[in-house]
Amino acid sequence: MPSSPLRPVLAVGRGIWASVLMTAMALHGMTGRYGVVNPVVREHSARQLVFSGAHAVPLVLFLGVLTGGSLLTSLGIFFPGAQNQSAVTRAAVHILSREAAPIIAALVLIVRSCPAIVVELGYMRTRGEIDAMSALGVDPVRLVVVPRFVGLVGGAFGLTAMFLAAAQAGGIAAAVLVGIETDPRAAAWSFLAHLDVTDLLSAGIKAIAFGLVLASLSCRAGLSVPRDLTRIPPAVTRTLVAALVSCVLLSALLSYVLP
Amino acid sequence: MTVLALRSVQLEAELPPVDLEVEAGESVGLVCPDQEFGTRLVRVLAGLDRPFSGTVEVFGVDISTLERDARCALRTDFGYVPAEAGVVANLDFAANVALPLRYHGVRKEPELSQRIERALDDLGLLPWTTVRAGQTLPALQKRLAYARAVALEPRLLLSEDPSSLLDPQGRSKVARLLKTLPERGTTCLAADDDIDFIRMFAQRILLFFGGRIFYDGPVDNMPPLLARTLHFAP
Repeated sequence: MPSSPLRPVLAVGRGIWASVLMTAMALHGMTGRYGVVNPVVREHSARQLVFSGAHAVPLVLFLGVLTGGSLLTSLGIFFPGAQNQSAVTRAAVHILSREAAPIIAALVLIVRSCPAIVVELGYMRTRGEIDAMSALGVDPVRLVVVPRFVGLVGGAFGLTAMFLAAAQAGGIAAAVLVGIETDPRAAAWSFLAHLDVTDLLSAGIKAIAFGLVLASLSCRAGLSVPRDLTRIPPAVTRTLVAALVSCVLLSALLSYVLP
Repeated sequence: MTVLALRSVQLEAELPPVDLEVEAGESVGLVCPDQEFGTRLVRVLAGLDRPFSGTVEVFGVDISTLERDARCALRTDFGYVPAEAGVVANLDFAANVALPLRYHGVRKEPELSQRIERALDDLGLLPWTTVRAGQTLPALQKRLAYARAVALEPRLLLSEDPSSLLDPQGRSKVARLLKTLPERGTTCLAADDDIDFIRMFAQRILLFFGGRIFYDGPVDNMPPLLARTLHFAP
């Protein structure tokens, strides 16, 4: 029996291991004739991509414009003057692409998609849908888990790109409004000139990593709910907390590791 | 030909081992006063649960030794109906029946539509074709689970607690379906605690008590007193 101070550490370790296993199962599940080449799996994946990605686009665009605008306004107020113009734009582009875009896209997924996935899978498991599928030769990993991985990873990547574009637009508008730039076209060029390939690469890597983490946590939580409806709400709460902490920790780790 | 074989299968350490063979074309009813035992046995036969010891062979293959894809391929010959129906709540009736068919490669028209229609018609579900399963009563969902299972034209149909959730109309439709399945080449095995329902379709009855087979034989030869005694025993 482990001593009580070690219990949380062991629980976190078990959770990480289970999430890694879930990710490996999903990636393996994408292969073979019952994988993503199967039309039924493709349809379910497309549906998840629409739900997790396309339906969240207006919210992400709104958040992107506001974040980009407010960041540029704050930087413009703190560092006024033409001599700081380049540094302000560079800092804004860096913060938006490497930090804000992936983490806010992940937050949108945590709020919109993760609870839905945990509840849906928990409900399917409680109602015996998962077992019935399995016994009819329909692999639940392929029909249930793979589409959610596709939806969340694709959604995280797409929403990060959308957020970045919207934040740039908001930033350009703010730059003109607070007087960092006078010409909107010049402001746009300035933003693009400061956008580095490594910034985009970093944002892309973070988005994919967040998508994988969120998908594995949500699917694992939903599929491990005991056959009892009352156990679904606590599973949702646990998953949201774990997803939030995991994404923030992973973001910090990747910011340190990535060039 | 043996479709299903249990070799010294123990569900729990304290239960006696069970040996059982089911031949192709049989319609077998397992009558278990302990409902949980019957459900667990069918889940073990379907490969959803592992027994404590012993092996389960389906079509001569030990299902526990198969890889995931091979297990999926073998299960295309399976029909399975869980006690709680297990239909996909957010799909309509036709889509529920189509799901395993399309997954296993039955995608060409008109074959797909014909199989869906025939399966729904067998269970009297045609008026609900476009209704979402989650919006209907459990009795209809249970009938839908049978339609989904038989649409696959399986060689073996396993059913957990078939009489549960069903209304009287559903009971007669399901019993009629299970009775006719051997004529279509489907071996049928169902576990229930309701001996009267099992008698409506099974040619062979196995009476379980305390995990042990007390009677194994045709319905007509079954001593009614034994059946009644076991059915109502504590």
